[in-house]
Amino acid sequence: MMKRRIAMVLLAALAAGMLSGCSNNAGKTADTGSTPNTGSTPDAGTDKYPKHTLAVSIPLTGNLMQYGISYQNALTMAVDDFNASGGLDGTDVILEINDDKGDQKEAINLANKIIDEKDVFAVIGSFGSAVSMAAAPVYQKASMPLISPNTSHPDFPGMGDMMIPISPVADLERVATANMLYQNFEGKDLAIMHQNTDLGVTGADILKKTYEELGGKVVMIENFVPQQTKDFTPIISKIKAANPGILYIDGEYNDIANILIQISNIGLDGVQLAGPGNAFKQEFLDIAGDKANGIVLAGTTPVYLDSIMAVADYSDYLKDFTKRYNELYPDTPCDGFAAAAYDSAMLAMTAARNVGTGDPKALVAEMLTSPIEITCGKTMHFEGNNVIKDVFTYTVKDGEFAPY
Amino acid sequence: MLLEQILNGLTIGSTYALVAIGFTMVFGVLELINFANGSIYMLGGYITLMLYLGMGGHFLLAFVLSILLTGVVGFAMDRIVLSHLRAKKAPKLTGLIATMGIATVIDNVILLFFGSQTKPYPNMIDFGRFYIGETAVNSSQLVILAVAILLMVLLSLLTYCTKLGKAMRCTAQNADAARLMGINVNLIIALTFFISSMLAAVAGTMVGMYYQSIDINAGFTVGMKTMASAVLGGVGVLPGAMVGGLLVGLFETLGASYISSGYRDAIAFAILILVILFKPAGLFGKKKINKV
Repeated sequence: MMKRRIAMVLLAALAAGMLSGCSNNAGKTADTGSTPNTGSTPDAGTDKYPKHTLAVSIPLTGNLMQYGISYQNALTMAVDDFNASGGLDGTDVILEINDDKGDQKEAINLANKIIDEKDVFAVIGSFGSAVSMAAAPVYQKASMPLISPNTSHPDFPGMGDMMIPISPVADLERVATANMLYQNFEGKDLAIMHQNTDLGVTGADILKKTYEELGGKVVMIENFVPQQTKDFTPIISKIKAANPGILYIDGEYNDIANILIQISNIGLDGVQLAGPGNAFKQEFLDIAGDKANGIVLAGTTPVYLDSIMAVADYSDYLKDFTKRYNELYPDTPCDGFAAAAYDSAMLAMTAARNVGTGDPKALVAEMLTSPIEITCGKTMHFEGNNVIKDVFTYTVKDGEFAPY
Repeated sequence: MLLEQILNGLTIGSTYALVAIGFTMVFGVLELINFANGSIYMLGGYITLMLYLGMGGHFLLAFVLSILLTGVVGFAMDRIVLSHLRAKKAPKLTGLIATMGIATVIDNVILLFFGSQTKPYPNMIDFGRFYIGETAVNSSQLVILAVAILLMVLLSLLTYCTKLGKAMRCTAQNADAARLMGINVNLIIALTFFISSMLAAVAGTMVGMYYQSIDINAGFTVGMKTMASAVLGGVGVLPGAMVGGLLVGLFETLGASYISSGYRDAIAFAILILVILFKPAGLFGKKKINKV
């Protein structure tokens, strides 16, 4: 009796889900039906820009708020710069900032809120692959372009034609890292320590595969829970016993810094350390200090610290952005997150200026085919909706970043 | 490697033990699960750091002041919230939920005040590392272990050999009877919170120094682990909390090194459940006769 009742409830839920699914589809076809009409009369002045709002979904509270604040600063700056240079045919772009708390559920709720707003032409967000990818289907279904500054999960571009990552998928960075490590350190045995996230797991797989294809040997892969694991000593002792020549540590900057400190506490002598571009932050050096000396870091974003700025071959556009950002926000020094957010907004707004905001498909096509000058690397272009950028390699000398 | 892993486990375990002792004291006296313990541990670490930076490098002074200040926070937590609940004869569950609320408040105050960045922490107990055979031993590990044992002995003396301790044990046995004997029960309870929070501050600072960094997630995991330590050793028994803490640290480390580092917490808690199945009162706990 009870079982039957549960089955009935489940059936009803299923039916309701199907109904709502159908109605959503109906809404979508109606939308695409109407868009060609606006698209066919692009010269009608104000008609070219029916939408003026750039919506943002970023973590401004909670454990990830430091990243959200970098985003917020850079996005505000980007929209101000864009409006100062004329906006959308004289009309200002409006920046609508929403706080998703770095939480998947919040991001989905926000996505549903944003797609119902009539004035939004594109969305920027969020921090972290897990959060962006949770909300991605909602935006995709509503044909809302989603430009993500730091989503580098390999599956993200494949989630739909509305997804535009500014950060290359982890493959690119990991493949380049594997090649660099193999060539520079004579194919020594590699151990990998990665954070247990979607991205960390796939990243480690790619690194292992590429390194083994080159002829190297991967002797150990260990993972940890980001932000929760505080004691890495068991893993370090275990790696010590496996006796690798190189240890690659994948994680956020604070976890990498903590691991380096604990390595120096209990010793891991004669092992070359390596890591990803996540560590290109002043805060990383503040925590790890001299203990980071000698580590090789490869990433797709440049280092924005003054010491590197002076010697690196960065474009004037990048240098100018960094200078202005640091003047505007002296408390939060410019980093790759801010730069990626700035480029995301600029990409969306520039494309909107060129083709108008009426047709999302045309808007996305314009973003993917017309490259802009960027602040988060040297050059950027797209293959499909996969972004391709250069890889930078740095090391740490006397507690400061230095070109490798 | 085994020796080194055991040392790793004992170090992390002794920090659990320090917090677990405070947790178990409060439970012993009040039968209250103090969910705010992990947050107070983190608060202690942050206050030490703030004072250290604010006073230009007087670490010892900062440490002592921080212990006292964190103690006062614990004291205030009882005086402002929990004592009123007791006076109104609120059910035990209300007190438990109240401590969860306090934990949330403390966590968010720290978040607003310090931001979500990981902060570098000075290490004052690092005198280098040395080797016993193949095993690397860090001086910080030994200091943490020594402090944990010292405080454990001091607290045992306090509880079992002083008048204050007697008053605490009386309050734990029967608060009404203790009151009839002229013991200021509310003061004793508030003092218990004071001591428990001081211990948490010591642990928070020691761990901050050991890892040379502190962040706002520090309290959560430790809160879970200390609860597990206390239950494993037998809630309300001081030596039990100490042994429980060391064991949880050991299980976790050995699980991480010999089974899988991704499942370290799962392994630690699975062993905990096994022990509890065979000894429901914990390793050192005695079966209690429920008073009607």
